[in-house]
Amino acid sequence: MAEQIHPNIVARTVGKESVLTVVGAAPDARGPWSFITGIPNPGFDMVGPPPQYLSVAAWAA
Amino acid sequence: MVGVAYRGNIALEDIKVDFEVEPVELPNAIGFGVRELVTLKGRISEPERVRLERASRYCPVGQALTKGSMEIEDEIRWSNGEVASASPLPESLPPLDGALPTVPTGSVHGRYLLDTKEYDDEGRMEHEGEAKISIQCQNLTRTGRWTILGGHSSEGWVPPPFPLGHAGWAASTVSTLSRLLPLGTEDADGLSVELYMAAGGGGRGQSQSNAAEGVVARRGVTRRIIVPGTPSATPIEAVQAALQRDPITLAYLNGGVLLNDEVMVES
Repeated sequence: MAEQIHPNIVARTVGKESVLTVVGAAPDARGPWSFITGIPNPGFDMVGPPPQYLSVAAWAA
Repeated sequence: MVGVAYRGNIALEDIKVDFEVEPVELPNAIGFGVRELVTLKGRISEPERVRLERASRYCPVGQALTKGSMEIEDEIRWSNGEVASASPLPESLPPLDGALPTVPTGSVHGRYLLDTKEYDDEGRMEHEGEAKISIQCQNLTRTGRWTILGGHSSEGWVPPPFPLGHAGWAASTVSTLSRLLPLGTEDADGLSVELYMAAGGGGRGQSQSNAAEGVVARRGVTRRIIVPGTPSATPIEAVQAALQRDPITLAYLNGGVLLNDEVMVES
């Protein structure tokens, strides 16, 4: 990692119940592709699938 | 599997995959498991079906989730500038105040988009093309449904599967840390995860060879966790304990997500 300045993937919270993840975040990479995932909670419907479903979707692809 | 079929001269005409996702109880953690059904269409012999079944189990994403093939290097950076290595994660788990939500029950269905295959001027397949993925799971007041695309295309219209899988891992890490670390509401907005994926592994061709032959390929990745505050407010032991409870991290370390799988042929 010491030689790699930019990460390939970045994820950060958006509010308390969602996470924004960017694939291909480095400027010279293909992308970016952005995904919103949800965190199951008792107050609101998730606006995106839980993260585990994103990984299973990748398996399906 | 399309690439493995092409390289092995298997007459695969179409393919679809259906996953059922369910929560799994683990000691001190929330896990998940999947049941996989792959349906192949074409004049496919039993040895060819077995070869494609192996490819399904040993694709890079499948290996990461079921074989524990990832080699993870964790680094923590606090917003005050302090940095520490968090690897290896200790086996002991100090208690944490937060709780993780259960992974909701649902399904993931993949359909291959046949006309997205790309060939060169001499008719050789250059890119396997794209898949449309439909996700459905329990949500609070209604069933949640989402559609995404993934695969291999020359123009990069869609994310390749392996980075897409890591996107789920990065998101899972952030979700888990946001639930388990003692962060204030404002501080939680400063929580993020960066993944640095090691180059190499021989590319897509090598991955398909590994999948066809059932070879587990170790892949390195560095996960940098940016934590608001200072080590005294959020100690490294708390971050490590939270990481040890993350569902996808546990799958990457221990495998075991696959509860059942079947590959069937429709002629």
